[in-house]
Amino acid sequence: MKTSTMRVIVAVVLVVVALGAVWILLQERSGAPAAVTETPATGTRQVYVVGGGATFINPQMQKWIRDYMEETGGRVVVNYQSIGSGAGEAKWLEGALDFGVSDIAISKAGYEKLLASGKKFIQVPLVAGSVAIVYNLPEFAEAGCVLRLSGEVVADTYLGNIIKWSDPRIVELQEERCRGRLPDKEIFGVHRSDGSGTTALFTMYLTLVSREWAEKIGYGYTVTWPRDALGLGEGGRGNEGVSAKVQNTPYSIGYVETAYAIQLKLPVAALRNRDGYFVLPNETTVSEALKRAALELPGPHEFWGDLPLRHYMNREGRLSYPIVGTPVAFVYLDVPAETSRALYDFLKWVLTKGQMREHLVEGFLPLPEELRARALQYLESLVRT
Amino acid sequence: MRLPTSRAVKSTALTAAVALAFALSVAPILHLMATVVYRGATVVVRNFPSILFDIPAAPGDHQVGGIGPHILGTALLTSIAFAIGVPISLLAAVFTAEAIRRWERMVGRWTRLLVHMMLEFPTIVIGLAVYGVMASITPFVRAFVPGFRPFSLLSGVVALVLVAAPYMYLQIEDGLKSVPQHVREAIYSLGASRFVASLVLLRYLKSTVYAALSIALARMVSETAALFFTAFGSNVYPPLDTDSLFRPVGSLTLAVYTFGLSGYENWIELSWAASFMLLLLCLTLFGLTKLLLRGERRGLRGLR
Repeated sequence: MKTSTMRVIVAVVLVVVALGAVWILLQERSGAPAAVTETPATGTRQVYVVGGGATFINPQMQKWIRDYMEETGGRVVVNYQSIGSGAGEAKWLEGALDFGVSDIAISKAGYEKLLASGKKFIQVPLVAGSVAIVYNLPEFAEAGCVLRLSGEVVADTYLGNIIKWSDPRIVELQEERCRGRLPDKEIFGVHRSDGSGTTALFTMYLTLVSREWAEKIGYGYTVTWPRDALGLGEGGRGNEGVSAKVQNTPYSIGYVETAYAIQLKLPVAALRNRDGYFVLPNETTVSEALKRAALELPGPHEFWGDLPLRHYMNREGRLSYPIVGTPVAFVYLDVPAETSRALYDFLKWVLTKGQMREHLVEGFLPLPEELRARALQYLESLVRT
Repeated sequence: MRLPTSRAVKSTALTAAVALAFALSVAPILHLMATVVYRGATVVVRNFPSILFDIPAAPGDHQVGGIGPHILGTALLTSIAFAIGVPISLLAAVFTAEAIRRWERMVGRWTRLLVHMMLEFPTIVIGLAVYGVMASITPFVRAFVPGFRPFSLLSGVVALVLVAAPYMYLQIEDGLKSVPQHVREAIYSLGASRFVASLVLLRYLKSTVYAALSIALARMVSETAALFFTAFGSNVYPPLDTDSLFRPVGSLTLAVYTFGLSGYENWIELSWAASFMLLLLCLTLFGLTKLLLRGERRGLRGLR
C-alpha cells in the first residue's frame, strides 16, 4: 500500500514540476513582445485583435477582415463576431473586446460608466447604413407603381391612427396614375421582435417626425408597438424574419436594413424628405444626407448615442434620404501600443481602401468623403498618444 | 381456405401498430440525418479538400471558402476539455463511491448534490458564469500574462468541462456503486490498497466507463450555448504562440449557428457543411463506442 501511494505522489509531483518549468519557459519567451514591435523590420510576430457587436455589419466586417489580411499578409489578425450591438458594448466595457461595434453608438448608460471609469476612448463611423420601408401591395406591383410615404404617415400607421391603405392621407401622397390602385384593405404593420439597431434607427426617425410618437413611444432597441394591440401588427425575428413576413403577407408594411431589402429584392417605398421630395434609399441619397452631418460630427469621445437623431436624419437637400445611420466602432486609447497600432492599421484600411466598391458587400454603402475625412482624423489619436 | 381467427387478426393489427409507431418515431431522426447528409455532403464533396482548411469566403461570394478555423477550434476545445474532464470525473467518482471514513462520505454526498444541480443548469448559464469569472479575474491575471482574455480557448475548455464532467461522473459513480459488495470484498481480501482496488474496479466496469466517456465527448463536440461567451468563435486562424490558450477559437457548432442565420447563400452552404462534419463526428464516436463495447463484452464473458 505504501509503495504504490508513494509512486503516485512522486508521479504527480514530477508532472507538476515539469508543467511549471514549461510554463516559466513560455513566459520568458513571451516576456518581450514590446521589444519586437519596436523593431518592425524583424517583427514577424502577428498581432491579434478581437472585436464584436452589431449583427448588421457582420457580413461586411468579415469581408473587410478577409481582404485586409490578404493584402497585408496577415500581420494583424482580426477576429470579429456578431454578438449584437448591446452585447458588443457591454463586453467591450468589461474589457473582453479590443473593439466594439454598435448600430447606433455607445448608449447613455454605457457612456456614463465609461466617464466614471476615466478610460480614454474614441468612436469612429465605419460604413453608411439606412433603413428601408418595405411593403407588399400586389396592386402596385402589377401596375409598376412605387409606394410613396411621409414620416408622419408612417408614424401614424404604426401608432394605429391610420388603418387602411385607402386612407386619404396615403392616397394624396401617391402619383396620379397610382392613386386609384390603393386597395380598401387594412395595413398589416410588421416590426422587429428582437432588440435591434434597425429598430432604434427607425424609431429615432419616427420620434423626429411625429410629436405623438415622441410622446407616447420614443426610441430604443425595442419599443412597444401600439398597432399590435389592434391586431394589425406583428413582430418578426431579425431582418430576415421581417422580410419573410412582409413577403408572405399581402397588404403589409415593414422596415429592414436597406442591404436586406436590396438582397431580397423587396419593394421599397420612396420617403418624403424634409424638402418635400420623394427619395429611395441608395448610395447617392444616403451619402447626400450623411455628408451634411460631417462638419457637425461631435468629438470622438463625446456622447454619440443620439447622433443619428440629432445630426443624420431628416436632413435638408433635394436628394437626402431621411432614415440613415452609421455603425460605430469604439476603441480604448490606453491599451498596449501593439494593440492600438494594430487597430489603427485595420480601421484606417477600412476607412480608406475598405470603402471602395471591390471591398464592399452588396447593399453596403461607402461613407461620404466628408465623413470619412473626419473619421480618419479621429483615428489619428490612436497613434498620437 | 380457413379464415384467420380473431386472435390472429388482433396480433397482426397490433404488430402493424407497433411497426407504425416505430416508423413514426424514427422518421424525424432519419429525415434530419438524411437532410444534413444530403445538403452538407454535397457542399463538402464539391469543395474537397479546401473546405477543411480554408477560412470562410466573403458573404455573397461565388465560392464558399472553408471552415478550417472552426474544425481546428472544435478539435482543440474537445481534446483539451476531454483530457482535463476525464481524470477529474474519474477520480471524483472513485472517491465518492469508495468513500469509507465519515468525512469522505460527507464530501461525497455534497459532491453528488452539486453535480446533480449542475446537470440541471442550462448550458448557456454555465457559459455566462465562466465568462463572468474570467472577465473579473482578467485585470489581475493580465499583470502576469499580458495576453490573457476572457474570450478564449481556456474559457471554452472550462465551460465544456463543466458541461460534460457531471455526466461522466454520475455514470461512472453509478457503475461503481452497482458493483456487488462481494466483488469489492474479494479485491480487498487479496491485500489490495484502495488505489489498486479502484483500478481493478474501474477495469471491471470498463464498458460503463467507455460509454460514459464517449457520451461526454459527443456532448462536448455538439455543445453550442456554453461556447457563445467563452470560446467566442473565430473565422480566422489565430497566430500560434504562447498566448494561443488565451485567444478565442471557432467551433463547428458556432459556425452552424452564425452562418445558418445569415442571409447569404454561400454562408448557408458553409453552415450545412459544418452540420455534416458534426454529424460525421458524432456518428463516428457512436460507432467506436459500440465497437469497443462489443469487444469488451466478449472479453468479459471469458472472465466469468
